[in-house]
Amino acid sequence: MNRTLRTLLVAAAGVGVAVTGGALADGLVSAEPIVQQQQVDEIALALSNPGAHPRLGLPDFVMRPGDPTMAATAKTVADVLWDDLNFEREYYLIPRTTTAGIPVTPVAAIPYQQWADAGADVVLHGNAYPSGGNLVVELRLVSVRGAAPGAQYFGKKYQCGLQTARGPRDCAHQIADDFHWEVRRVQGVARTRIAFTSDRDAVRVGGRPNQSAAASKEIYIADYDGANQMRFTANRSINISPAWAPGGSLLAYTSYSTGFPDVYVANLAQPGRGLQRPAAGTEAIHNQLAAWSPDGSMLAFMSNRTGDQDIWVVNRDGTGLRNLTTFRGADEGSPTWSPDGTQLAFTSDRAGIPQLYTINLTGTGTRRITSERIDRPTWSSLNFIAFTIGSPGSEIGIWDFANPGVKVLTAGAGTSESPSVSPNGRHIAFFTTRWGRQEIAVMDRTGQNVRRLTTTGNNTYPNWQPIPGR
Amino acid sequence: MKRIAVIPIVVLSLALVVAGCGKKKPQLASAPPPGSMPAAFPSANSSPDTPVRPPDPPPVPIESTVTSAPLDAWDSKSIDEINSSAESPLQPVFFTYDSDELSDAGKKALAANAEVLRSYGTWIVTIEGHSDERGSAEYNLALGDRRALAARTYLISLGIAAQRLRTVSYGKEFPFDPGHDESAWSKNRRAHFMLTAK
Amino acid sequence: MPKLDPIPSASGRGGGRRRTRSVRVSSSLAEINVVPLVDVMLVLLVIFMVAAPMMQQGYPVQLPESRQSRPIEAPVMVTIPLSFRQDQRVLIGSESVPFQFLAERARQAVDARSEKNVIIATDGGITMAEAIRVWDELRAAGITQVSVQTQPARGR
Repeated sequence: MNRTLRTLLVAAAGVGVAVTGGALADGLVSAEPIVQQQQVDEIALALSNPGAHPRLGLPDFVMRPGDPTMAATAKTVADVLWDDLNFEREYYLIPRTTTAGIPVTPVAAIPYQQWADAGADVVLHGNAYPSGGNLVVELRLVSVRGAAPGAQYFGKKYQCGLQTARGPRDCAHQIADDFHWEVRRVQGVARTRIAFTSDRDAVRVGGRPNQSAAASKEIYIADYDGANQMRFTANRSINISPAWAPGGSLLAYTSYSTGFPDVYVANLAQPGRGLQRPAAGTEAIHNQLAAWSPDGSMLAFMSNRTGDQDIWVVNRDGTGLRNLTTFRGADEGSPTWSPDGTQLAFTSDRAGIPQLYTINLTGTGTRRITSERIDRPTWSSLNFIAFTIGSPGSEIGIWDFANPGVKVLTAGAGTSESPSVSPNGRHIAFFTTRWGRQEIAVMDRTGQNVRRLTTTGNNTYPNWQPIPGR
Repeated sequence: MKRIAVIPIVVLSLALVVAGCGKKKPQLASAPPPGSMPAAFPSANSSPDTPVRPPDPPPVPIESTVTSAPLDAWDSKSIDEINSSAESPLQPVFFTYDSDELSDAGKKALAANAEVLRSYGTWIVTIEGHSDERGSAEYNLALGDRRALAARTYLISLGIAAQRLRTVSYGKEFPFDPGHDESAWSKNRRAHFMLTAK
Repeated sequence: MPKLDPIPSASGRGGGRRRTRSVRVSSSLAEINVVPLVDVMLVLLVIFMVAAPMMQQGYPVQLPESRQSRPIEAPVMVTIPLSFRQDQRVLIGSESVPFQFLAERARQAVDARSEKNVIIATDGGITMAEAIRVWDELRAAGITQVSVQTQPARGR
């Protein structure tokens, strides 16, 4: 979380107080600190040490009995919060089922010995109560062992808006990201989403040979953890390669809805309306595989304007169109921008097989990075490139500029391809056939902790949303 | 006498110190998990003109006979009827794995298609390039485009006007046969002809 | 350690014997007093004589280098004392853990390890049924290999 969002949170806190918890909002409405004192003991040191992984217990929130609906909501918030905290691997999270037998008490009466027996260093204690249709959660991070059990290291009062069914989950995601930042200075990605292509609601595309499969593919959007999967496009054609703009409110994608592939830019707030086509495709000019510049002002894409496939860039409003890769007789594809926006990486088969190249935005300084067979590079903000490597039987690999060399992250069953890196650079989404069909999965940057997000249809082209609002 | 005794002790101690420090802490070389090394990948040093790839499957035999229906018969049918018919007058062209080269059978099919296009001088067709599901999705978009272009270039060389021939690549996104074996793949590696206007 | 006498001053304080000795010391100033050096060296010698056999593990070979290697980890010890029957607590390392959290604590103990294995040390008075209860919990924690610690039998 950056300064902007914290300011926003503070502002939201002000609004929350002023409106006294109007029930119209969704997700996190406000957040205000409730614990000021800072103990400096071994637990505090472990909490601030990036190499240490304090063991954290997360009991059910304390609630006054008598409101089963609110209690269920509070339990959802706690469950999702546990999952979000576990995802970043900053803490060792003790499973909530293991500690379900430990009594849920007010913060002053936490049974320290029982938590210490379960192996916990700290407990994230929650006190929850309804307020004007919202759910208020007071969270405190309490030591349960060491010199001073009961010492508090973090405390904040969060107000969760519950306008829609998304409310509890969204609120937990925002709390998790805030908590990760406040205690560990880690930018969490719990409130981000992942866009992808799926044929789960496929319909037969009209006017096709009767004996062909001819199934449509649409763009879908899911929460980073796979929850709330919803369809975004509905044109019964082929829609692939979604790409989030910085700020996470615009989505570019390639659609065949007019019979040829072109890059469309859609606004998340009004799906299906006000579509833009900055690359201005025609029946003869095809544009695909768009990628946003880091400042959101330009798009790079693959186009056949000169007879073979080249990388082109264009401003968002359709001006400033130009060809970046004028090398003749070879196909260039899959552009991706460097974090500072001055270079692009792409693939080119000018040496026989598709390989990874970089080029300056000025069109100069073409450089081959590696001689492996590479596809779909994705340049992370942490200055490494993730890509598909090998064919057939592809895997996910990365090239780290700080430690040059190809490192392969996946291995074994099925193929894995189309990586997309989370905005904090710690996770990679990709699609794989290891479970039979094509499914979206997420793993750590190390290749560990693979987590399956989809279970229906064939799902391809994942793209990880940047932190919303940044 | 005391001094004489000291020297061997110092030497012995030093020797022991050196012996003690020289030993490195033994480490277990844990074998990498099986299959973690990309041994199957094309070698980094393979020369560009001989990319390492699985042996190409044998080319699929293509019937090169022109459809039995009389050519005039297609005038009365709608575009969608012609495109969805199993006996479309325009034949697909098939390719080998990861290749956009026209086979002899493919050239025969294109010659037949050129004949049809000459008979129906107003027809405009779209040549779709498709690939099988192997290889990465983004690469196959470019491969499909090359296949469509190969068919288009050959038709132009047979005298068909360029403006009557459009191309589009679907890569591996729009397979003819959704199967996962060579019989499906061989159908999906194709340049498919769709009638766009008549 | 021998007490070091102060060097007598020129004022001539001290007994006759002292004076005699001080004369000897002053006459041999050119020599190093090796007595403390020998003391230190003898202590070092004893230390190294004791330590040397411990360092000689196996035949001396030039070990190959590997980027994939990890240091050998000391195994996780799970001890089932006789008191387990009364208080349902076992020891992981030296820490007493209640049976209800045994699986979770064992999972924590091997969490960062590449090899998920533990060694069980059981009091001879513990029954097979009790040991199996502990064993089940360890398997539930994802521990793939459990070894049982014994001692060699004395006599026949």
